[in-house]
Amino acid sequence: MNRILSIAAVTLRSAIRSRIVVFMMLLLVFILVGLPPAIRGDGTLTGYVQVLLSYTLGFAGIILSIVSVWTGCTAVSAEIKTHQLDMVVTKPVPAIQIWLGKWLGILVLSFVLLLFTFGSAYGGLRWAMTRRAADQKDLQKLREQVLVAREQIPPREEGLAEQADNLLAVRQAEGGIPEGLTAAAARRVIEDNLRLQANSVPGGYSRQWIFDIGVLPADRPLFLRYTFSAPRDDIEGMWLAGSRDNRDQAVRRVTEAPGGFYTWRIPPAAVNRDGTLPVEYGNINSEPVTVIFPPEKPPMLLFYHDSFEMNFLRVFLVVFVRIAMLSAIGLTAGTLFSQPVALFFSAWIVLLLNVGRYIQSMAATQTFFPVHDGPVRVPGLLDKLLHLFFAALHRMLHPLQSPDVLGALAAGEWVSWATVAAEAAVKIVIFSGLLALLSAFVLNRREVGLPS
Amino acid sequence: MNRFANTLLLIAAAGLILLAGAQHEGLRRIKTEQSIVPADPVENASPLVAFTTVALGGFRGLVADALWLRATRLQDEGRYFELVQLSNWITQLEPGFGPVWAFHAWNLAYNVSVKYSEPEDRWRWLQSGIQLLRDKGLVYSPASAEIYRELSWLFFHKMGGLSDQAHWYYKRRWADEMESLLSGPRPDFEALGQKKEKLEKYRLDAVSMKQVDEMYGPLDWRLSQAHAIYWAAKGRIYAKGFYEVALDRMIFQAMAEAFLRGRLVRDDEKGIFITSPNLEILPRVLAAYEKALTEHSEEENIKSAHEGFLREAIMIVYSHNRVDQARKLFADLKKRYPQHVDADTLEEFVPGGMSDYLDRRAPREALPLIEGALYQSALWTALGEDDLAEGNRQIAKLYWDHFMESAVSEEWVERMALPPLKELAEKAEKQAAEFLMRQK
Amino acid sequence: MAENASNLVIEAAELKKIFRDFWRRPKVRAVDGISFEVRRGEVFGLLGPNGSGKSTTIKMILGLLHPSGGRLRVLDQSPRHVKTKARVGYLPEHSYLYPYLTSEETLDFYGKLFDLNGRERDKRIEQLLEMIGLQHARHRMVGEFSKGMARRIGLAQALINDPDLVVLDEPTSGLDPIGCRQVKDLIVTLAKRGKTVLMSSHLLADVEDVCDRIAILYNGKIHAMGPIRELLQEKGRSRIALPELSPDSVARVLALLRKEFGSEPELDHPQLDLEKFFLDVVEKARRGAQAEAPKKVSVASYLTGEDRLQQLATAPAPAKNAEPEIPAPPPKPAPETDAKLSRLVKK
Repeated sequence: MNRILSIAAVTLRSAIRSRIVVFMMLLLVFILVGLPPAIRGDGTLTGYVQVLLSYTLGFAGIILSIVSVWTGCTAVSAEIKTHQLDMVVTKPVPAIQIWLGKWLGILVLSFVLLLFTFGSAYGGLRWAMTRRAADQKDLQKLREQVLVAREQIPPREEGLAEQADNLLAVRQAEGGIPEGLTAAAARRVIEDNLRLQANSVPGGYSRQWIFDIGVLPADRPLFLRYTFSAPRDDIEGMWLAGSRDNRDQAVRRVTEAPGGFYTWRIPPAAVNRDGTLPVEYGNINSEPVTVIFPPEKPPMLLFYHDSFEMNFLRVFLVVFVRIAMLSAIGLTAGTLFSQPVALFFSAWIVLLLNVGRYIQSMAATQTFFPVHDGPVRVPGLLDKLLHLFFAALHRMLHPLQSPDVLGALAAGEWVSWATVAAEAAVKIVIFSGLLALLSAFVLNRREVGLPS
Repeated sequence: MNRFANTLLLIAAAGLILLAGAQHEGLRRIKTEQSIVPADPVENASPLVAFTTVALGGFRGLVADALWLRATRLQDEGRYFELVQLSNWITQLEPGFGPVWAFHAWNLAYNVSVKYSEPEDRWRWLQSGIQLLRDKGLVYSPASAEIYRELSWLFFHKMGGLSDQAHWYYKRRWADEMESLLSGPRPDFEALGQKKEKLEKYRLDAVSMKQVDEMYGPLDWRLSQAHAIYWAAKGRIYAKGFYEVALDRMIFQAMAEAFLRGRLVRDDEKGIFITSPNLEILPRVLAAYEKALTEHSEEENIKSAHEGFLREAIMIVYSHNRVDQARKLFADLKKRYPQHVDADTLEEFVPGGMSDYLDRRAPREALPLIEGALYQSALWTALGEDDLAEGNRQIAKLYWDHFMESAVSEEWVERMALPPLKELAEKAEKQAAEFLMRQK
Repeated sequence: MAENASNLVIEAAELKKIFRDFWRRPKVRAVDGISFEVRRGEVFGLLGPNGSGKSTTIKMILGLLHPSGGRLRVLDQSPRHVKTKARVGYLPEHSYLYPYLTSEETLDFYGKLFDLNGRERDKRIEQLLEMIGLQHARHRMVGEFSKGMARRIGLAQALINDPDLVVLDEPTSGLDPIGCRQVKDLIVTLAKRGKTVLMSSHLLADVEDVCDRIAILYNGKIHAMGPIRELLQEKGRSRIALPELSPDSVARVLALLRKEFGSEPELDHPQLDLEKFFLDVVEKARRGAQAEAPKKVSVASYLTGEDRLQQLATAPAPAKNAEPEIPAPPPKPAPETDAKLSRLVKK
């Protein structure tokens, strides 16, 4: 352990001396100080706070990612080039300890900078709240919807699976499955259609969802967040939350445009004693129009879980885990390759991780070169190869992608300890652990004494 | 072998460079046509924007695209709080590109605003769109006709129109702001020139306002139509090709709107906030239409807009009891568009527009029209607008007479006749009084 | 190899090193099938012009490069083994120390890498700093050192772990004659204590002074190897040193020798060692200026074995099954005496 700590201390001192790192640290300070006055929210204090959280932490996260990748890449490769590593490799230090020591040094630097960042952002947030004008409604929204950690739950599952199975059997008996469509694909289509039907509310009808909440703090409101589609603007609807025999049942009549995301504040008294909350939507439009609640975006219920400060801490940890992973990637690249190649390689990996969303959508695409004749486009060989490639890439990258914790923080959504633990397990224990083993293997076999 | 490979690579590199160079002229032409000026420093830009546009170079477009994708994604997820900031950055990355400004302003003012139920929230997003164009777009791209047009449209349609649920809120808020700035519907433009700082907040200048008022007014500057005309007129001097027609259309459409609803009747104590026609600008509106028809004689939609305006103007003028003026307008309509006008006289024309309701011979179809006109008459009487009151009363009588002319027998009269006009008028008076009581 | 295995510190047999390019094509044969041994307690010199393969050989011994062929054992193990590295000290030709660490921090860092406990580490650091004469610079950053100071601190870190094998690449480079002398004395002391020293140097006089055996490389091959005395011995000739003679005595001796051998003998005056002459002049000048005598440099006690002797004196009797200590080889005569003796060879 002594060896690891010694190497960590020297790595830390070396990193601080790097001009790039110093420049990045100055940039970080500039962003933390200069960004808050420069950014624009949506005109409300709540909007400003949300943008402040997203952007200061987001930009700082980018800078710290660059710092950690850079120091990772140079920690080994630069010392190989200058032969400083010769003096360490000729000592009785196992390669894994060298790598771990260097990683630890980078982690300490990243931790301190991240702590400074989050501390400044929190301070800036509190300062903004005292300095910026806001009306009561705005302040209430800030307190209840942003500076909290709200758990988000979907409604109870419908159990359409059995229905879909029955329907599939019927279709198969009738010979109603199109050629070229497998049974599994047909069942998926049937289930999707059933779900869509279940979530379509024709004029004069209503639809109910049940939310299983459990025990709630009595003084905290709940929020229903929903979206819908409809063939025209100005859709009239009636929302009811709570059982009909509950005298605290909440009622709301709305006229809203489709496509938006709406939030309804529900008093906690509407929740049943058994911890469930039934929510009903009635389509009260005078003209016949069907309102559809997209099955992939059902109404979600948000309610208080714990404080903003605890959430802030959890987000800090998730971001730190991500930075630790990036530094491990940089360190491994620096062990495998020379300095410029290591930087280039690491930059590519980081870029791929950041465009994961688009790779995911490419992986879901079956036809890349659509042909617009005929009803069904069958994927060609090139389509299949591309699909395989993106699917494989997505599989590799997906576990390494981080959830959007900054977005959750800005939206007042709960980031759980389980998320933190899962991130740490995957990114640090498993992935960085594998990188450590790979790097140790390579470092053992690498000829550190080659002439530079 | 090494030398051979190196030579091949050098030849390939040279070939690729030549090929890239051959594309240069075409790219430069496209950039000029689309007004994407890559490296020229933008006039009036803040140091940060100027630095960014030069430093990022060709990567500006990539960064703008990445931000745009983010904005689209956030909007799809209902996370609107970042959109103002992102719109600012996207537009400032391509400051010379008019369509980018127009799109983002429209997105904020239209798409995002309707996602909010509260009028105050909608107002905020509308203001974000206006400010993006007025306070930023016109600074970085002062000669962009497209930005002027979009700005004019936001005032004309979003704020001044009737389609948005919160349109009355918009009108009130804007009227409040202008009231505090201008101290009334038509300011003293000379004195207004001293309030440069206050005017700067709205990027208005007193001299231009005076010119617009003289050319297109008299306008009620508390209402959005005046500002729609102001921005369209300012942009007109930069317009070429399509935007000449577009901005001219904006001007006469806004003027038509100013005629139809360009007078504000306001009494905060009584809770009255009503827009009504501004007859004073009718000659100028007609002149504007004449000008547009002359300059763009090939544009069919200008002709149809003119015809529609004349029809509405006849009804408005008649409802103000200016029968002679209405008769002249009718004569002009009949002369210019005879194939679309069936009536021979003004008295046939006025109810003729409502023939679908009046000629069905069902009281339940005709009654609302008559009651509506009588209600208007009673309301204007209470507000002291005698001409309007009398005009609407005349219209109600025309409608009543037209319907009752269909009487074919006593039996029909017994079954289908309307109540007497006097009875209907009394009922309308009562309703108008109740309405006014509720506003207090 | 007929030698007792435990007596061999380095064994190289047909050692090769071929540097390849990116496509694995051989570019340079830096070491081309060399075989040599270094015994415990000896000072072995590796000589050769630039590009002869000295540094490559040293790097292979230290595990910084992997042999392309042949066999290499260090302290009876692979050079890359952690246990081997624990017993080796290395002074590179150039300073590869961290320039932002002070001399004290540098020694402390490397001491920790050897897993020395705090007290022992501090003790050794004190002794080493005193030994190399850098106590005054303990808090100065190594990056600010002159070349000579850098060599000293480099030497100190090479000895922090009391190594059994010390590899020194140009140990006296950049040092003044006094410093050179001190380093050479240290090397001899280490050898006396049973440590093995492998050194490479272009300063042949220094090699001659301290080395027991040498190998001369050229173009990756060993072209000469053996005890230095034997290699340098000019066979077929004798030299006799006499006190100052009068011209008549000289003439008589020459005539006698002429008669005996039938050839004209050479007559010259023996030359003093330049280093010794320099040191004498500096000492005289110091006495004349009445300047303070330079402190006698004491070698760190843990290196000389004094610590160990003390421990042994006070320690209880070893257990029956305890491993016997490796006995130190018999003390060697001082180099000066050796040189003198070599000059008095009889026919």
